[in-house]
Amino acid sequence: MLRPAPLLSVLRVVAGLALSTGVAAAEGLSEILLGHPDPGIAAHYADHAMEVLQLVTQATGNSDTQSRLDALGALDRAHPQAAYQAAVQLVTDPDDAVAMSALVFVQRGIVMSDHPMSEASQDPRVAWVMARHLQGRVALRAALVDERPHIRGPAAMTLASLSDEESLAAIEAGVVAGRFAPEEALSLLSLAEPAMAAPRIWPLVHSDTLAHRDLALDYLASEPVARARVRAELFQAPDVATPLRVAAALALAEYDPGFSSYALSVAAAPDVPPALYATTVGVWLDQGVASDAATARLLSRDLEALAKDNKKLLKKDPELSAQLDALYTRLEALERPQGE
Amino acid sequence: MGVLGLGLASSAEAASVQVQLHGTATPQDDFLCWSPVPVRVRQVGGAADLDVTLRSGSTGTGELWFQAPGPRPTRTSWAPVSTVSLTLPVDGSWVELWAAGKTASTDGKDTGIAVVQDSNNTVIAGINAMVRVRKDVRSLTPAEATRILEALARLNGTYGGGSPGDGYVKYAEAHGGAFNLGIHGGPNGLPLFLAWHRAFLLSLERELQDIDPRVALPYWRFDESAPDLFHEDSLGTVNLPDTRVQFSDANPLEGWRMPGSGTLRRWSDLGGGASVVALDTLIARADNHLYDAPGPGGFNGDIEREHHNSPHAQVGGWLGTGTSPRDPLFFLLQANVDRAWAEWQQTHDRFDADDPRAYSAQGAYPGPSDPTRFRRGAYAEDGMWPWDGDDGSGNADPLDDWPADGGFSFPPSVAGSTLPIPPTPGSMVDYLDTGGTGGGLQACYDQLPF
Repeated sequence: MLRPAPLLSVLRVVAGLALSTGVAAAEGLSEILLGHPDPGIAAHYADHAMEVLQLVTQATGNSDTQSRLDALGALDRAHPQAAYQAAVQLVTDPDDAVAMSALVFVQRGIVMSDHPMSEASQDPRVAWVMARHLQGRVALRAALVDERPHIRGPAAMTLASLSDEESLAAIEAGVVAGRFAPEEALSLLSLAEPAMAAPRIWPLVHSDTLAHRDLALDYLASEPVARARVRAELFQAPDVATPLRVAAALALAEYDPGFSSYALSVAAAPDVPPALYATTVGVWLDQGVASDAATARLLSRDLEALAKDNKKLLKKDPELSAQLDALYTRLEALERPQGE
Repeated sequence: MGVLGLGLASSAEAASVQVQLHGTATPQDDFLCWSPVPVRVRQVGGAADLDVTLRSGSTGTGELWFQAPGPRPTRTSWAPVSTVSLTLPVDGSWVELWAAGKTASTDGKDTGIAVVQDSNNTVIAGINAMVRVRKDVRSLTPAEATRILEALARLNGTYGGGSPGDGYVKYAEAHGGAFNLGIHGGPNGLPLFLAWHRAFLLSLERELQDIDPRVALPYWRFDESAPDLFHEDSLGTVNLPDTRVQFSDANPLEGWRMPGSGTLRRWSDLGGGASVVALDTLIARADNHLYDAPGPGGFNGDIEREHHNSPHAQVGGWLGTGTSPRDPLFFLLQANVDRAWAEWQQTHDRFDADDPRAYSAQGAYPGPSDPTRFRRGAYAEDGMWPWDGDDGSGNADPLDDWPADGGFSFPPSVAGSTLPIPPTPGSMVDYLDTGGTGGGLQACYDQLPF
């Protein structure tokens, strides 16, 4: 049933066809014919070398869109390894329909294969799969700078999910170059392993666009590997601008189960900005942890002192003043014994 | 609770007649699916032979049917009936017959076997049972859906805000580790994709059943629309630009996370279905009448490439990685692939593990003398990693060497199943025990009868 591929003769055929047609695909095709470690598959390509080469030529050539798509479809159906080899060349093809079809083939071909080559199997078939996977990554990386968002977007999604470091850098650079909107880049980066994504998302906490800042803070506070940095370098850092500390407090309160254990230490710090105090104590109270009368009394005294020290500021900022008033009312209510 | 609401004790022993499923008195194993399993009945302390009729009782949707005493039924000899008349000998010897699920249960043991004394048409004994099958997730009752979500969260340790432990994450790690063993190379001639994942599903399902015996893995028909699946009360939803999977506060999966992986993330919901080659088309292809064709093609490779890969790719995030079981949606996706294999088996009668058309890598690992061999674990008679404890350490043969870490024991066998532990690829083939050899997995799909 399985017979050795007549490699030499096949090579001659392929080389001859490549010369006569000028098709660059011959190199990849010969790799399939010569290199596939499964004897049945190698024999298949030996038997169908001419047909495969013609279809690859048609798919990668200059014929009309439908002919090229038909060729890709025929390859995919009967000669999937050859279809993949064609597709990796076509992900950024100028023909939109061909590029999209190729993109799907490559996405489908590399999904879930994010295993480091250092752990490569000694099974030659598995090693072959891994080598093809890397080929697909290279093709998709090239698509990250494609002008068409419907090409670069899905390519970026696949690569980011695989935590492809080179692609994460390209996505980050793509924001500066205008290829990726910050929101889209943040979404894409967030698909990667947090340890790799968080450092790239971190700069967005300093964005002038509050929506971007808050998205970044939500991501960083929700990921345990990044949370400590939000806490130490933003929320607890006195030299950081108050609005950013307030935003960090809100994000940590939302995502950090341990927020209540350290929140009041920030509120109790000397020179705590009133806005940070109001937000921190407010969300701490919202969490309903240990809001006993004694603690409430202490907080009320702190709040009175804070209001006194910041009288001028509060006069200029009625919204903040109202926020502190509301907080004071909540604390007073907690000070009263139950049922009073 | 009484037996079938008939006022009998829940014990398998009631009145002067005993009835047992799987040959045991314990109610813990009174679960079955479409595959015939042994039932035995006897009278104790009687004065004469006793004529009785066995029938299915039901307080819900589940229902059983029977086959009269005789050899273990095969798919061709199975001719079930709703009632069976028996004479129970006065000497107390067992009368053995066969029972199987006819319709699926929805609420635990909502069916069972009632023993009716013919002389006075009175139910004199019975046992409760559950027809436990894997269902289309869209057809689950709210209670069934909650049970599976809760069992998953409990196995992971995150139920009710807990921290993830080893119970679930080992599956994600094993899936990642098994890549290098060839579980995802079907299109390139590696045979393990379907067989290994069938064992993988069963391993997790048994652990879930240890938490709640009423659950069976549901499957996600990703080739059809399933909008309710991607809902905060079900498997969660994403709302870009936030890629976190959102669950409602009441959802047991709320707080789902994996050690070292942070927060569950996806790129998109796929409620409208994935773009895949239709299953009917794949099953009908001439070269797909074989598990593996001698070249490209074969059902194992084609379904992986043309049906299974797309939903992984389109959902993205955790589901797009080698450790995709970190996302519990994985198991619903893969159960659908396994269901597809079962449908293919049924269409082409591919239940004989000794038939290379049903599983291509026959026999046992041949050793290094065969240069085109697969890795140990891929052959029909090999134990599979991560459940086989023999990691091949110190073996000079590179294809007889498995990861030293990450292995774990396959959950114990359940009544009605003679699955070898560790499981082999071959033991995955006749999952229904259509050959009547006493194997089978006791895991069935709702639309695929015996």
